[in-house]
Amino acid sequence: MRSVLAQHEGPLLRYAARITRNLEQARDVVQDTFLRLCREHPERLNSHLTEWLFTVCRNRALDIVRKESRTRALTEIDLSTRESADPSPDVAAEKRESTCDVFRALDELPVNQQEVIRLKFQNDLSYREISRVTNLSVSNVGFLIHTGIKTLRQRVRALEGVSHED
Amino acid sequence: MKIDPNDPRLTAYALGELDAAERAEIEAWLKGDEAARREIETIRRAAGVLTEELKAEPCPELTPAQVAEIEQRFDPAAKTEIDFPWWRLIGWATAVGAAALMVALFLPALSATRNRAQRLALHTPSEQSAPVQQPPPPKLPLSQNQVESERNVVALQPSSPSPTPEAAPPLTRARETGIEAGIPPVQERTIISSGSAAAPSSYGERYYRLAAQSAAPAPGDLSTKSAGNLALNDGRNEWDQSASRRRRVRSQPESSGDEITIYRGTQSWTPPVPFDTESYPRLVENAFISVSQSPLSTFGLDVDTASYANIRRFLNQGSLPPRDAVRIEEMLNYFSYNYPAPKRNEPFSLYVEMAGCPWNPAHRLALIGLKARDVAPRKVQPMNLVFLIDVSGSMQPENKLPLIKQALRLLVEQLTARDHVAIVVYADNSRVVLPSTRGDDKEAILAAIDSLEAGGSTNGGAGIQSAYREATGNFIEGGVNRVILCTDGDFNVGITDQNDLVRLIQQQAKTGVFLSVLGFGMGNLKDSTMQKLADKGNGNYAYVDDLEEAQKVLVDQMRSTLVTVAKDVKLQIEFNPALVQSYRLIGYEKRMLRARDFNNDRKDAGEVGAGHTTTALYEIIPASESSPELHVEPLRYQPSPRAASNEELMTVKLRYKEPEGSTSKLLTASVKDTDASWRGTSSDFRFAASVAAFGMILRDSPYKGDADYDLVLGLARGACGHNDNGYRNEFISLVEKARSMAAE
Repeated sequence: MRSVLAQHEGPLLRYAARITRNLEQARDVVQDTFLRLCREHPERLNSHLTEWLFTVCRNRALDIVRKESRTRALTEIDLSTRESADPSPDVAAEKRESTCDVFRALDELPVNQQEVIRLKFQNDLSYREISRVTNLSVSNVGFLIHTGIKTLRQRVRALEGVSHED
Repeated sequence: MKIDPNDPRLTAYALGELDAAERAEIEAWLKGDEAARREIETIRRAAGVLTEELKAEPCPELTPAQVAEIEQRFDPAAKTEIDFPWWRLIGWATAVGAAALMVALFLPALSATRNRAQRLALHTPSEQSAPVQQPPPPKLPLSQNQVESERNVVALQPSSPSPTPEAAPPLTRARETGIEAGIPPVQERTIISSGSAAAPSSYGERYYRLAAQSAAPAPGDLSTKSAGNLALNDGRNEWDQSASRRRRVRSQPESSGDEITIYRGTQSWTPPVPFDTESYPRLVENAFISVSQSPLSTFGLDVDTASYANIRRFLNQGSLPPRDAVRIEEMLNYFSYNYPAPKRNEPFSLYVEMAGCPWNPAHRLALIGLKARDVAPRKVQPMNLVFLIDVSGSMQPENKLPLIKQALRLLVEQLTARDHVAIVVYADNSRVVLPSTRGDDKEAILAAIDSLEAGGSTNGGAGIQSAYREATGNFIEGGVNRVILCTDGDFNVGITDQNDLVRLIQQQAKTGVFLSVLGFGMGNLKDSTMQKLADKGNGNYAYVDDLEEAQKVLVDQMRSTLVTVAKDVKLQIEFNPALVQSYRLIGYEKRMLRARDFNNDRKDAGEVGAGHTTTALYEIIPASESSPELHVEPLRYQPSPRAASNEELMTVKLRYKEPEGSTSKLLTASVKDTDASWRGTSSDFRFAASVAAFGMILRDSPYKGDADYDLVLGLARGACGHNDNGYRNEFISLVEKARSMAAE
């Protein structure tokens, strides 16, 4: 358990905080995710452990977001289609010319693209796993990642092959 | 041939996400397209940079307290649940840790076993140790010539005073009544109903009792049952006071709720459900319960019918059903009964009938029948239905997805412009096939139905979430809002944690979106999962084995299956120890409630749909009967029940909530036994007794007494009186099939 916790605690928190935009809530979400893990049967998870953790974490985080902003009717659908919110303060502080441009540019992507890109590159989930975590189809995940990378390449020189070849 | 640089498959290829066939296709293209090859390289490099940057993003941490709580949860010493922390065994488990775990795991199980054995020994030693002993010959042989009517139709009375003169007999105001004498036997079907239902107060309620016959007051009519507030009684004679003391003493088992927990204890015995076979939760039948030990019998109503359809499937395939697939209450409630309809503005009518027990002449059998208000077709609430359909590979057979499609086409014919229907499918992914569409746009709905195809594996969790989104997004205030899950019950990928599903479903039920579950197919049927999901979602569960059944569930009963007229419907029967020595509720094992849960509005129970009839049978051992089934020493400090000359056998209390209400309403009725024989019983009663006897035979129940196939057929053949679309005749043919199989 300790190794599961050590391996996934940070990434899950990072992921949950993106959804809740509140670290305390993200901590509650992740704690709850691990507590639920206690009740799982191992044979049902085996190779799906990471996917399961992210799925439960995401659902719990979305529950909280829904509850928090009922007045703004921020549903999951809204979350995936609305324009990205302002970058969080720590990210905004980054300078555009540094390699942290990546984060700045990422934050400017639509939220659903941000999410699948983070799941793919930050957390090493496959398209198929991402599709199950996010309830999107595999081809939709592929489209979002493809489009997201394309946009990032246009906005961040470090990602465009040309800058390296210069 | 050039590849469009906007083709997402380029990125998928670069990231190694394509399967072999697609990969080969892209590679063939890449050979002749240098620009595309460079593009792939660029994508890969960008992906590399992204990965590097993103992984370097700082990670927050849980607080030490949170980590401690999680770790404590995995600590075997602190753990009492059966689900054990598997990683301890495979990871850093020590021999000591494993040993501690074993102790933690088995101790509760052992003590549960011991507890149960003790309790059963108290009440029904015969079930556990010796073959069932038949009770001695009846001391009160029932005269076969008795031609008294045995029908008691008892009106439901709201607990607050609302005298309704009508043609009905006057209310007997209980607390003003002392001892009266001279009661004529009930002679006819009399339906007496009260005018309005009013909300009860929980304490100091005054119950009004309505004698089921003319103005003659009932003898010993001691109905001053102010729950927990006996001080209310005033101006009573001495007899009255001693009786109320007696009542208080008797009510002690109620407050502890001990007796009823027998069933709860055995429920938790259900072995973990394996995920690859037809699975039925273990069912331990209700035993006889001594009235002096526990005068209250409390259970939640059930209008599920799945067990009967499932039994039919087994019998039609030439095999007897597994014992635990036989749930007698679901068999009883599969059929409709001609109970009198409720009076205007009342949600229920209550029908009680009693006679000698066909399978045990020394015992009595009581039928409690409930009929819910019917909703006239024009008043049917608009419906917002979301079909959540399993299209995984296992749904391909004719009796699964193709049958669902046929069934849906039948339903579409019934929809009107006020209704909305949506279809969500799930397999590897969930997909909204038909966004919420007006019921009169039949072309669009039918086209969506035709497009359904099976393939892929299942993740029920994700699909359910999408379906609830469709349902809440098109919520009809005051209408029927329901997700209808059509599946063979195979949730085999992703979130298979029943607890998570159940939580989601319960949450949604609170917001007014209920869940119905329709089970299809065979071999992969997860009976227990599906029933549990439907229960938690304030819904019902039906097993659909052919188009006829689909017609019944989706079309004939559409209104009654879908329009809930009352929810959290609970029944509590109080038996009079002067007349009843012990009782046994037949079936409803999964619906047993603790006595105190009856008045607990947060404890949920069954839902009842428009026009539904619900039937429960009690086998009763009269007080005059000595019973080998109950080896309980007589209690020394209980006032002798013989002192009471009250002729009421039992009082039926019913609690329910309006579909959108949160506080319950109470209805009560008292019942007398008229010592009736089987002659002159209603065909409904005989048929219900037949169904129960059949169920007990299929379960090889220790309580089946003299019941055999001839008895079942004899009762049923004389009880096919009214037209019910041939369901009763079908029952008879099933019994005949079972008999010939059993004889082989």
